[in-house]
This record gives sequence, C-alpha cells and structure tokens, in this order.
Amino acid sequence: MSQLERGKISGTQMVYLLVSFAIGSSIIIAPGRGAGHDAWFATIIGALESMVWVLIFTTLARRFPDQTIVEIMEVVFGPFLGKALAVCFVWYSFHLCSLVIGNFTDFFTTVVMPETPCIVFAVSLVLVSAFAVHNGLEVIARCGLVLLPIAVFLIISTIFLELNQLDLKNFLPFLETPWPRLLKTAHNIAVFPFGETVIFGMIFPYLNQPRDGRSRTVLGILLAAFILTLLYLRSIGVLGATRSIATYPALEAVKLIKVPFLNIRFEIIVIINFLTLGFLKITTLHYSTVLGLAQIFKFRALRPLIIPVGILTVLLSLINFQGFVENLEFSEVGYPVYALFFQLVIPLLTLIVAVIRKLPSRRTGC
Amino acid sequence: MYHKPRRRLLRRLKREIAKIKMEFAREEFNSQSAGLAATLAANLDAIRRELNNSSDLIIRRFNLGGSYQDLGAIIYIDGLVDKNQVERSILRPLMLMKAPSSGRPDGDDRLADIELGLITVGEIKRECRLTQVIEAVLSGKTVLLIDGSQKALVIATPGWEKRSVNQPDSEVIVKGPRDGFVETLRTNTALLRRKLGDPRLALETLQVGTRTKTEICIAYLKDIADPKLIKEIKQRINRINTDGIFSAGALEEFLEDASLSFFATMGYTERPDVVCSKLLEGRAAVFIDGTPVVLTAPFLFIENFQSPDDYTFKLFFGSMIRWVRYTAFLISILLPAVYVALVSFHQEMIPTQLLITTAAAIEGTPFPVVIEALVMGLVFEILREAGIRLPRPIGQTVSIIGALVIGEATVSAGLVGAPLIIVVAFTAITSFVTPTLVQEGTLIRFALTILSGFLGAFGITIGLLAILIHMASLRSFGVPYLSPITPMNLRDLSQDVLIRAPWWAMFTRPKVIGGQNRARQDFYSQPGPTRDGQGEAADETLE
Repeated sequence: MSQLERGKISGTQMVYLLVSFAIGSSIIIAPGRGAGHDAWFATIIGALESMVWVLIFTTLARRFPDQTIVEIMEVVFGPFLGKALAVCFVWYSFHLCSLVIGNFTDFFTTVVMPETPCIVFAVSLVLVSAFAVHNGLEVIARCGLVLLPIAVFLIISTIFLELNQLDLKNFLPFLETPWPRLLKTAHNIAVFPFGETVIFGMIFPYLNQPRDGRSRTVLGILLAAFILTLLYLRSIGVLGATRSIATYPALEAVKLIKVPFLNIRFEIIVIINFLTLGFLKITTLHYSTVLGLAQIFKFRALRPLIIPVGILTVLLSLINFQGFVENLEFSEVGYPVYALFFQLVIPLLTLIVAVIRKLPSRRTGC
Repeated sequence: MYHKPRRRLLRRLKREIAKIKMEFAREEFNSQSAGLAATLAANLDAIRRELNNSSDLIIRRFNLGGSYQDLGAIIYIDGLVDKNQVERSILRPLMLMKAPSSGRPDGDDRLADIELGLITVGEIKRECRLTQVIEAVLSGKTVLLIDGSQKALVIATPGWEKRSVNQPDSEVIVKGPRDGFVETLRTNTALLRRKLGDPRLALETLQVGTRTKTEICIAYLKDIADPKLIKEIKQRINRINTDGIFSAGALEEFLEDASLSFFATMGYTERPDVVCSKLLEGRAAVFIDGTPVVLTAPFLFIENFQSPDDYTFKLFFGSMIRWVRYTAFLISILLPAVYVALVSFHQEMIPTQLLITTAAAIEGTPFPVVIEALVMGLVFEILREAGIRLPRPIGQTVSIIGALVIGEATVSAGLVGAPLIIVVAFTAITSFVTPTLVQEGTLIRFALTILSGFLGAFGITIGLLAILIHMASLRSFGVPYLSPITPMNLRDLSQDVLIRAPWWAMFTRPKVIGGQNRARQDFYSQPGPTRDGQGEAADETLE
C-alpha cells in the first residue's frame, strides 16, 4: 500500500463525508428541474437507480480492498491502458471539482455579492480546500463530522420555520409528470449528485474496515436521498410549480420565511449551508484529484501537487461556461451522458476485466 | 541548483552542533570525575573556589564532640536553610556529644557513626563527588564534612521563604476546596498526595536547565494513564537542552505537539483538586519547581469550557452554564465580524426597526464599519493591557478613562457609531467567560473581522472553516484536539460535553485519554429513597 496517505477514517466518518458530498451542491442547484412538482419522487427513483452503479464500484473496491480505484485500473489493465483510464478518472474528479467551484462562484456573484469578481470566491475556496487537503484525509473527515450536523440542524430549522407557508395543494396533481420525463429526470438526479460518489473509490482503502465500504456508501446515499427529498418537499410545498423556473429554488423558498414579530430574512442559512457542505465536496474532489495524480505518476508526497491542482481547478472553473444558461444546458443534457462514462462504464469495464483475468491473483498479494 | 548552498549551510550547522555537544560532554566528564579529597581543608577550599567565595556561603568549622583533634565543618547557603534546625539537630549534637563508636578509626566509618548516632534529621544522604556536594548546597541542603573522610553527609534542612497555601486568584470557585499550589515543588506534590491516597500515584522527578537545574515532576496514575503518553512526556523533557526554565509557559512551548499553533495544547491549573480529577481521567500532570502553575496533558479543546464549579453545582444548572460558556465563546469571536458583515453587506438580515436606528447611528461617521470595529477592538486591547499590570487604583483610573472618554466621547463626537460600542463592550465581557481562551479568541476575532470586512458572511465562513481545519489537524500528545466532538464518541459527548452528567452516571473515563482502564465506578450507583424495611433495619443496627 502506498505511503501517500497514512491516516485512517472510520466508517461513520465516511458516511458523514459522503452525505455532505452528495447534498453539497445539490442543496442549492436542485437537479430534477424537469419533473416539476414531482421532483421529490424523482429523487427517490434516482437514488435507487444510482444504487446499481454503487454496487458495481463497491464490488470492485471489495475485490481490491487495499487499493484505490486508480491503482486498481493499473493492476487490471496493465501499465499503459490502465494509466490512460486512470487519467480519465482523475480528469473526471478534476473537472467535477471545477464544476462545483463554478456553481459556487455563479451563486455568489449572482445572489450574494454581485460586484465582487468571481475569482475571489474561487480562489479563497480553493485555498481553504488546499489547506484541508494538505492536512490529510483524517482532517477532512473530522471537519465533515462537525459541519454536517450543523447543516442538517439548519435545514431542519428552515423546514420548521416554513411550516406556515407550506401548501399541500402544491403537490397535486400527484405524479402528474409523464413517466418518460420523470425517469429521465430521475436519471439526471442519479448521476448528479448520487452517482458522483464513485469518487469515494479513492477513499475506500483508507477506511478502518475497507470491507465496510459498500454498506457505508449505501447508507450514506440513502441518508442523502432522505435529506434531499425533505428539501424538495419543502421547496415544492412552499413554491409550488414556480420551483422549476427558479434558478436557486432553495434560496427562493427560504426567502419566504416569515417569523411573526421578527422582520428578518434567512437567506444566510442557505448560503452557510451551501458553503460548508460545498466546501466538503470541493475538498473531497480536490483530494481525490491530487491523490489520483500522485498515484499515477508515482509521487512520494501529495504536497507538491496540491496548489498546482488548485490553481488549474480555478482556471478551468472560469472557462467552463460562457454563462449560467450554458451551465444549465450542460447539466440537463450533456452531463447525464458524460458522467455515465466515468460513473458506470469505467468501473464496470474494470470489474469485468478483473473477473475475466481472475484478479486479484494470490501472487499480487492483495 | 539552489539547494546546494543550503546543504552546505546544513552541514556546517551540524558540525557546529557536534562541537558544542562534545564540549558539553567533556565538561560534564571533568566535573563528574572530581571526587572529594581526604583532608577537610582541601575540600573546603575546593568548595569555596567552585562557589566563587560567595557572600551567602556559610562554612562553619567546629570540633567534633569536644575533641580538639577531630575537625568538622558544615556548609550551607544562608537563607535557604532553617537555621534553628541546623543548630538544634546538627551543630548541637555534633559539638556536645560523642558518636557511639563502632570501634574502627577509619574516617568514612566515623561519618557513618555520626549519621547513625548523632544527627536527628530525617532526610540524609552520603555523597562522594564534589559536584554533587555543590549541587546539594545550592539546592538548600546542609553538607557535613569531617577531616579524614572522602565522603560528605548531605542533610535536608530546607527553610527558605515561601508563600502559604491559599486560594489562587486566577481560578476562584464558589463551592469547592480553597487550597492552591505554591512555588515549592514538594508542597505541591504533598497537596496532591493529600487528595489522592492511591499507592499507584507515581511521581517521577527530572531535572531541566543546565543552569537553573529546575526540578520537574511528572505525576500520573500508573494503571490509568497511557504508558505511551508518559514515555512521550519524558522523552520530550529529556530532549530539552537549554540553560534555564522557570515558568510553565516556557516548558509548555518545549513540550507541545504544535507549538506554532495559536491554540494551547497543554492545560494549566493552580488547583490541586483540578489536577486530581485530571489524573483520575488518565491524564498526566507536570509540576515545575518555582511556579504554582501545573501543566496537564493531553489537553482537549473542550476542557477550556469545563470549570470545577460545573461539578459542584446541581447538574441542571451545571449543564446550562456550560452552554452559556459555549455561546459566550462563539459570541466573543464572532460578534464584531457579524456586525461588520451585517452592516456592510447583509442589511436585509437586520430587523427593520433596528436597521433604521443603526443606519441613523452610522450616518455621518467618517470611516467604514470594518475600520471602526478594528480600531475599537484595538483600543479595548490597549485598555486591557494597560490596566492589567498597573497597581489597582491606577488600573481603575484607566478603566474609567476608557469607558467614559473613549466610549462616550467618541460616539458623541461622531467618530464611531453607538452600536459598535455596544458590540465591542459585549464582546469584551463574553471573552472573559472562558479565561483560558482569551488569547486564541482575540486573534480569531481580529482575523474574522478583517475577513468579514472584505467578504461579509462568505469571509466569516471561510475563516471559520480554516480554523476548523486547523483545529481538526491538531493533536495533544497523540490525542485529537477536538475529540470527543470529532472524532466523535457519543458516550463521552453525553457525559461531559453536551451536558454535565450526574456524578453517579459518569461511569467511564474519556476514551481517548483513559482508554486502557475505562471503568470508573459501578453502573448502579444512582441513589434513591431507601425502602421502609431496609431503612429501619439500618437504623437498628446503628443503635
């Protein structure tokens, strides 16, 4: 096993990290726009659909309990093809990181501080995440343990604060969306956010009990799906059909909170939630990119890669899209196909080849 | 290319260090090899020379048991010994009586006869090296030399001025013992022994400082404390090679895991009861001679919020007061930053009526809010620093000037807004709720205020995240600094963090500290009213 990461995290810590990862940016971007007021149902189907490829990559991880997915590819496909596929995988992690940072900067420049240049947000986020990556996986996991409960507490409190705005009629007509469209939206939700947990293939070997990986991932996805469904129920119940045309439905929903005798607005809750959970997502992605690169190119330490990768992520996030509409278009149309390659095709291919080649053999001693 | 000169520099440094080490070793070898001479005059000369004939060095020659042939001398430092005791238990018997002799005329045996037959002091030791004799003299012992013997008797007659045991000013509690540590190591360890009569209480003494020769004592409970922890502490203390240590703060910096962090990873206290309870949880305490402050390790962040009073108050109030402390700490680091963020970036968060008054108050002030907040924060720090070391009457003047002139006048002159004064004053008060976190809190407060001035709530959150990452990466002697919050331990959280559990419900020691011997008491010690039959039976047996 490589010496790049000496820390070990417990199964519970991984669940916390995975839940934060899964609801990190979807807490505000709200995928599943296509399903209108049935988005909550699409979320459930999407979570179930993502279970299929969760099973695939966790089976792969269980065959090679001591190796990250990047190392597994090298073992399975040999040095050349394996490295090529591993680079693809790391690219996905890298690209995803830049996408999430892009979401952040978009959100902050449109909603919170329109006059501040977006690079300020991107750079400060990446600096903090670089600091966390520098301190290693254990520290990232410990941050998750603190931040997720705070975020969940805030989410639940917004739900309670909005009970007086909730209109159950907004859910009618029940399951009105035609099935093909509902399933397509469900697929969108399955690739973003749930399928993205394939990145945790980089983290499984650092669990106390690597064999727990599958059960913890499934548990994490179910919890995340539960929280997201609650969030969607809240937004739909408050906003109704207008939810699907809002850019940031969660923000719009929280704007409507009215507490008697207290004339305050609560958007800050959403902003803080988005920041803390999104930070965990960015950090996890940053970490897996750096770790993957270090393993492909046989670095002896992660440190020299952290800042360069961070800088490149910021740059990529700036040139990814011309504008928010293009971003939306990509996430609705392009991303579900693009991500499927990394989330499903690469792990499945690796698993099939590994089974055919009867890997891991005893000789490699894994 | 550029690392070549660096490597050369490193090599030179290494050579220098090796040279210094050699010198140290040679010096030590020379001094240790010198034994005592056989004649009294030679020994006294040597001692006088080594101690530069200091004016406080007292050498008293006398005749043993009234015989003019047998010369003896006692040597001590004036002020470090109890003169009455020296006279009563050493000089008087030696000069007036003859030792019951074993019959052999050899000098060394005569010394043994004197030790066994004449001197009436408890702690006594024989030494034969000059350096050890000199060290003993300097540490407040009386040394007896007799002519014809190559050995010396080192007699403990301590009698220097010391402060009496009283309540420490820095940690006053309402409902608990009133004793506090003093500057003498032995008194302090005795205070601990009085509270902790366990034979498994181990006290190990080490010496630090090539010149100050400070005695340092590590106290721990043998079957509870982690042996790795004790080994680590001893290793770190032995690694210290400096000329002097005389405060807990200095030793702390030598011992800490991350001494460049702005968080303290060793605790300190002046109360024996606190040390006792920390030892019972599996921690180790480090006593330093010459200071009433005792260090404890490992130290967790959460201990900053625990006060001995929590455990003496009723548990509901004790738990509430703990949450008050958490809140106060959060307010003390966040309030100015949040105020700046609200006023300059997120006005929609302020209730409308307050917004109007705030806007009216800020209207016309010349500087941005963040500058005002930073300057007023700085003013507060200056006032505090000015008041802290002055004699009390002048200190009061400073605070009156601070409150009246700076507070009132700046507002009425229109230099800063009135809400800011409230914010700064309230922050100051809240920061004193957790006295051990004042340093950390002040630094964090300024950093967050600056970040908030640039980026509002985003800046505050980014700053808090960075601090969280830093704290999560800290360890105190191998124990994660933020445990039991993260890594999480539900039992420890529910016993002593979220609430203060009743005494009979604290079954276990904290896992990360006393993990090898977790059980603390029986599971069923919850008291309840005695049932009628049992109560009467007990009464009868009493009668």
